[in-house]
Amino acid sequence: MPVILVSSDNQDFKVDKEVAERSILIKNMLEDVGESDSPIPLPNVTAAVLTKVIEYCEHHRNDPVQVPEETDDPRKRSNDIEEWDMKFMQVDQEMLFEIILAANYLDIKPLLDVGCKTVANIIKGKTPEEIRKAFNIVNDFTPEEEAQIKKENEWAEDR
Amino acid sequence: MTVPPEVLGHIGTFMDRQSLYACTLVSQHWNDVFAPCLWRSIDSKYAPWSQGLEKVTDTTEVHQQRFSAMLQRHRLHIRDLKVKDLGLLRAAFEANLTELVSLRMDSSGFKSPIYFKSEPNSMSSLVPEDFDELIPEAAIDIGIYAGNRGYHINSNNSTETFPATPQRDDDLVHYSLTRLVIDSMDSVSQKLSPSSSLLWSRTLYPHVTTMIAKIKIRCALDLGRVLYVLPSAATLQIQGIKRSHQSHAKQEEIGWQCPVFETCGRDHAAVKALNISWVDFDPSVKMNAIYALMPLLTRIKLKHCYIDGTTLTAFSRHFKNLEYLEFLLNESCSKELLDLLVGCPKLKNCVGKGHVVMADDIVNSPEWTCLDLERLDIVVSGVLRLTKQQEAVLYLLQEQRRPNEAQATTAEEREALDHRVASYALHRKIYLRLSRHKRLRGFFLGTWVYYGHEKVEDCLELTLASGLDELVGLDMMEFISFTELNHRIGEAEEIWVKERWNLSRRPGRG
Repeated sequence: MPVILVSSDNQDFKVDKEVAERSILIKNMLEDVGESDSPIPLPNVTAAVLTKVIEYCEHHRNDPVQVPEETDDPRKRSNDIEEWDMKFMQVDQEMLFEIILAANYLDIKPLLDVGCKTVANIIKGKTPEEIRKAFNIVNDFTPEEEAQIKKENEWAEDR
Repeated sequence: MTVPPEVLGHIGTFMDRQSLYACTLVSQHWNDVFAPCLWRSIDSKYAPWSQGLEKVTDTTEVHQQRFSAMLQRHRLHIRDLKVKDLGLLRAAFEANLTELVSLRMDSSGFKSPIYFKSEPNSMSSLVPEDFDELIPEAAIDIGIYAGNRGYHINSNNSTETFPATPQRDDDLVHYSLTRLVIDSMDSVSQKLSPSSSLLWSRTLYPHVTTMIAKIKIRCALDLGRVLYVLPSAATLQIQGIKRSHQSHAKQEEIGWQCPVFETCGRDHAAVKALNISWVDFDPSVKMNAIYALMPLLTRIKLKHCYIDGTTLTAFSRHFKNLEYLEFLLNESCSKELLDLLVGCPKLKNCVGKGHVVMADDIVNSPEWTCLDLERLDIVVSGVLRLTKQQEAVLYLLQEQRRPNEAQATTAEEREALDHRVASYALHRKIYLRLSRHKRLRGFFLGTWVYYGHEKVEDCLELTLASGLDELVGLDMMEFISFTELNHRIGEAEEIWVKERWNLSRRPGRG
């Protein structure tokens, strides 16, 4: 049975239940409501972003449920993105963050992870100044504060 | 667009340290978010003074103080700490890292002997009585140190001392630690065993659920005391050193003795899994004593460990809750092994090599009670296989289209036929036994006995004629391991197996 999702700008999207349920938020909603064909409003997601999110869920509709694996290393790798996902994430930066926020809101862990890995890869190898430029962030440190943080954190960085 | 801190933080979990470091310098907000990620996991190896990256104008003490101050400032962020340095260990305890989840101690950096007084080559110079009141974790180093460098004593007889009294009342209880890893723990005598060093302290680690100890040389592990200080430990993992094949005999003797236990651990034992690798069991190990300490034990994994029949019997007698058992055998313990299937009704996995069982013993053993059995590794021996000559005779009979006994003319032919009937009857009984365990997912029916690397010639024939078809009801089968030549799997069997279980065949090794 298809499910109807309504974006913040009032566009309807008809998707298979299986696809919609990639989102834990929607899955839980459907479970709570039971059998019902009333549309599901998603006030935090625009049509443009929802189109992308649905594209992702369609492609990954048959993926097994992720099991969090226990590793010794608390830090996860960012270089293990599948080829399709990599292409999928080749969007402008605003859309990239929109997708991440939507994945966070809709609770689609694999999409959130892929998005975050993509951002991590953008940041990788950049200096603080380059990062500010890339993400349009204003440096609000005083020179003293900056020096203090530098001194404090530099050894915690691997060499 | 504003990105909420929890999403930024999630991005941080995918970054390497250089990136995290750069991120902390971007803005106030980013520093607030990424500094905790950066400080979450700390390895003392990267402390500046251990790498000589800072100017050597400062003394080690100054560096340590600076480091200590940093630990204090980030004490709420640090969850995973690896120390290879005594000063750091001390700093870590002094900082009272309440969020610490994992503490690893790597012995390689513990350079100077501690708690050693004069009198070289004498262990009696150790003063364990004092340990209680000192910061007790430091006691662990003694075991580490003594084994690593023999009995070496610092030339100037210096002894490092810790604050004589704990700083806080709760210093002797570590509330947040859930995982304790001790790398290369060495010891030379019972007195200096890893456990005794842990135990001389009165520290309790009420939330440690996993303890991993890597043991370098022979030592006694006083499990009773370990359990006393780790009352919530659910997994105990003890690793010895790998044996190499060539120098088997020459290798340092590795043994694992369990002294007769005190009752001190009994009320606390929550251990469900015991994983031991590369440590051979002494026959003197009192398995029933272990059972008394760990009544909840359900998984025993003795990877690369040989055990003897007595130990095996102790398992079937005392460990009624056992679900997983892995071990190696290097002697024939046919009956003892079968007792396990009879005596442990919850057994799901019986894993390992060298599990040689005599066919007659299988047929004569009482009902196997472990109806949930999922994996069984056994090498069935003594199934009255036909001799080469008899097989040749029968082959000829077949060729001449006289396959029935009535048509056998010579005594030789008759004898071969009789033999085959008896052999297949025995086979069928064994298959019938196995077929009762409907949850079976796999067999390892090897043909190699691991002691002496001999081959079992008279192992089970995996043919339909001998009764393989009795296994038809085992719907959950996922794998059968066998040896190509010896088990005589033919085309008919292969088709039969494929039809039922959809198993793909991977070439086996001899």
